[in-house]
Amino acid sequence: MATNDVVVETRKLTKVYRDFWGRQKKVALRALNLQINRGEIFGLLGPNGSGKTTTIKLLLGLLFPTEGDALVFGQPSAEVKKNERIGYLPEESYLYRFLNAEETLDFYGRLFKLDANVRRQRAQSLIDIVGLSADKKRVLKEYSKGMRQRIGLAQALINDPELVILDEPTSGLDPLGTRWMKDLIVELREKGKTIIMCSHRLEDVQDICDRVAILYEGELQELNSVKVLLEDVDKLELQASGVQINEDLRRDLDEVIRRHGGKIERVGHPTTSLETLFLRIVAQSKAHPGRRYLPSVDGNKPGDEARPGSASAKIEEHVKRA
Amino acid sequence: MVFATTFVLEQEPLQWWELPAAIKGWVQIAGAVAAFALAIFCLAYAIRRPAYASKTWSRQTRGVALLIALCGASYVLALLAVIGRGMGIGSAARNPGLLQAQPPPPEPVGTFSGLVDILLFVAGLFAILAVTLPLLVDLCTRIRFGRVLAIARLSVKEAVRSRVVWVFASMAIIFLFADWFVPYKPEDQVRNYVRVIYWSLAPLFLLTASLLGAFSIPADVKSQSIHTIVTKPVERFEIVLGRFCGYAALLTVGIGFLTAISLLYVARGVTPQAAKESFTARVPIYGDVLSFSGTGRTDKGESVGREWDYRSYISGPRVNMPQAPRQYAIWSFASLPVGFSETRLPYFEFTFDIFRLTKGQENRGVITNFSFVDGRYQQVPQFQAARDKMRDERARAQDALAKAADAKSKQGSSTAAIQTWRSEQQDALEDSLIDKFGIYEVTAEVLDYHTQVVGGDDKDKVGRKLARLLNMLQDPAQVKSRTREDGATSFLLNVMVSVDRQSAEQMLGVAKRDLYLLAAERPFWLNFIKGVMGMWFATLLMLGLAVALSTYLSGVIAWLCALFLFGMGLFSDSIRQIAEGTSYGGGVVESTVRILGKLPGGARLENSPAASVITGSDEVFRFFLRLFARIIPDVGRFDLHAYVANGYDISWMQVLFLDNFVVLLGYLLPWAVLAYYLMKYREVANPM
Repeated sequence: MATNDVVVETRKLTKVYRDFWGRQKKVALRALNLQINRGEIFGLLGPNGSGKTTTIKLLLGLLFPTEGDALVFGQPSAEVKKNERIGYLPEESYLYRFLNAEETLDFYGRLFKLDANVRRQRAQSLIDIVGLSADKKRVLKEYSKGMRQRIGLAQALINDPELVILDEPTSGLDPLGTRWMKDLIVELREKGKTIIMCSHRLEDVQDICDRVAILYEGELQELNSVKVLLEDVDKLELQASGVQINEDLRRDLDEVIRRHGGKIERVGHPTTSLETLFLRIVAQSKAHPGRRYLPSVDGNKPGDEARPGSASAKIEEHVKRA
Repeated sequence: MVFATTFVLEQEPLQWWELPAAIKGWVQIAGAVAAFALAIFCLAYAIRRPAYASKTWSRQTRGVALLIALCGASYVLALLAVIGRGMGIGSAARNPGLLQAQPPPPEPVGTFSGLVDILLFVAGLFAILAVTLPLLVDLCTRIRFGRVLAIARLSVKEAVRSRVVWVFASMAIIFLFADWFVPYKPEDQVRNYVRVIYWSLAPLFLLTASLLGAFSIPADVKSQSIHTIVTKPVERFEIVLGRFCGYAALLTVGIGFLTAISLLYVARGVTPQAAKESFTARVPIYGDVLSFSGTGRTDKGESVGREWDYRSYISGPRVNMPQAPRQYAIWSFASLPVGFSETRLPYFEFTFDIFRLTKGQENRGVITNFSFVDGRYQQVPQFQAARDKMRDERARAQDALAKAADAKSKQGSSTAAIQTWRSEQQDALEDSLIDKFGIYEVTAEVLDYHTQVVGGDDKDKVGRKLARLLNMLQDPAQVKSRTREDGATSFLLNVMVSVDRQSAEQMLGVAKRDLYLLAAERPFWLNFIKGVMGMWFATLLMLGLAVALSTYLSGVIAWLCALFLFGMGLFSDSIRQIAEGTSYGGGVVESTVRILGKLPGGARLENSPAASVITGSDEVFRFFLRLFARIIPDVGRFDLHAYVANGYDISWMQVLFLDNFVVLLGYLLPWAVLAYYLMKYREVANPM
């Protein structure tokens, strides 16, 4: 039985797709047991056809289980009343393209029977949050994919839901949008909401999920917190600053590690993620507009331009000084 | 029959007295279908219980189970009763139900077949209740009008923004160019314009309704927009209702707008002939029975070889058959309004077809006798004897009048004074004859397919005489004496129509609705709107059908199915004739054999094994055709344009409410229930 802290529970949840004659086509999900707690960000991972979206559709009542139970807030997933506490962002933003942003949110607000004033206020505030204030009068068919994803998220939040189900939330978003979406998801968790998301982008899941379930061929392969799953307890990582890598350092470190029964595998400079680099460059570009990249003038290959002593490094140095 | 020139009503509207039998038939048929569906559901449930089914039995589930048990018990009882008496259940199975023109009279309750009938009715009722209970509970507790309205608004916006409403602009072509092609006769002007408008508007709206209804939900499922709706607290039936209501509202506005423009189009520059003919809305009181005398059959006149036997024919006296009985068409009225006066005269109108056996006279109609006769003359010979006596008395009185006029002339009275006196005396004589014999005779020239009033230019004079006759017949003392010895009540009035000797060898084609008492005349524009309401009902039927089918089928298939069912509905009469074995020439196999063997349609097949195989095959075919006939809509009854085109009032209660609205409801309700279940238990997401 689901307790108050368990928002979603599946018990031996199985889904078999059949053809018109009832013959089995595919077992999409096999005896899935899950418990998702209040206030966590839960990630569903797996390759295509692993059963992530099927799980979400079963939880939402879009599909009916072949066997087992899917309970949301302690109610069967087919129960419509539970939807009052759920917000859902589909993988593609399947909204009505002939409506504009305001009309879209107004329509979905009406489905929740929200009072006209509340509807208007929430719609306005959500439009502001998702950054579509300037485009709120444009019909959705004129929106880019990222914009549709944003308005899709707004419609998922129109009822101020306790449980938010996001199917590929960063799909179609640029890195800035992706960061914004991830920040928003974390913010939602901080407000006490439970979030279930499935994504192909592992770095997104790694960044924000508290726990993940990894599915393969419809079966649950792994379920744990991200930290526990990613921690490699057989290896040690040491970060230090203020020292240069040289032979003396390498020798001293090797000696210490050997004394403790280990072996150095690699000593080097840590690298940042491409996302962090991209965000930093964009932030700097906003602060200081203008071209930053200058092509090589001395025959250096692309990628060599910032090497110390190269012509472009000299120019960059000159620019910085200027 | 687009440009048929008279008012033809092949199918009588449903009458109030037919309603109980129609409801009973509807319950039996719809109940049998519901019971069949329940049986399949129970079987499937027993074999494999769905994982999403609740493990505990709610009060609602227990209620449904109880109703199913009661339904099953009633059917078992009916079956036992049938087996016990060794009787077939064919009579109940053949009950044509609400959607047919004339349900047969109910079996008496006290008889055995009446008992089976009641058991089948009760079983059907339980089955319907079992099927509709979850829907009713949802309607009362879960379904919210606000959400339905939201989806309806969305549907309207979708249709408007996808420019569907532009199809209505195609009517402009009709308004601009129809005049070029419409046959023009001054008296047919309004009639033809109404027909053109109807045959333009009806296909336009039916097609639009079918397209909107059939493609809406499948398009949502295909584009997965429906995911964002069903994951909100929306009952799935609210989507069906919302779509239906939204498109119905849009189509209603479209019909309203085009009706207003069409009315202007029809009403502009109406010729005096057309105004007289059909730019009105006559409120007719029809005779209860049309019977015939002298034609060999009381229910039919003579056949003139026309396949379409809407009218029967009576012949004038035959020159070469002087002894042949006189042929009459007799309209019998059981009751008529009371209290006719100088300001409220009874006018009888008629529209007959003329079938000429000889060329006749150029530009002359057929001289016809109309006899308005006290209903107590139950036999034609009785009437003829009284009429002859009356004629003798009239002749004698007229002789006396002539002599008296001569005497006055000799006494020096002026010619004008004598004429006035004579006219008054003649009038008094006619009154006294009416009072004495209860008969009033008028002779009129009948023109082919024209609405005429008895008396023509003298209609007021004739009306006064008829008022006198009718007031006399409705006198309470007279009414009392109308009760016959066998307890039955004779008709109040018979109108006997026969071809006069002056038009010997000519024939008149008559139908029940060809002669009537004009009770009132109402404005044309109101009748036009009522006529459009019939088309509106048909549009709603098509929309409901398409939406219901689209809850399970893909858009194209739902659209084709809706068109097919509706299209078949246009031929429902013929289909039912074949299904019930009353069609001319037999069933499909039999008629094929007849065509190939060049056998006449009316001849009986020889008694042989081959004939048995042929009729047996047809019987199997008819069984399936009878089932099919149950699900096709009777769309003909929604076509009210003939009333408007010919200037006959459409009754609010009897035609619009009972014959259109109630029938529409009776047809759409089962589809709504079906749509409820199909939508509720449908997986709206695609696999993966």
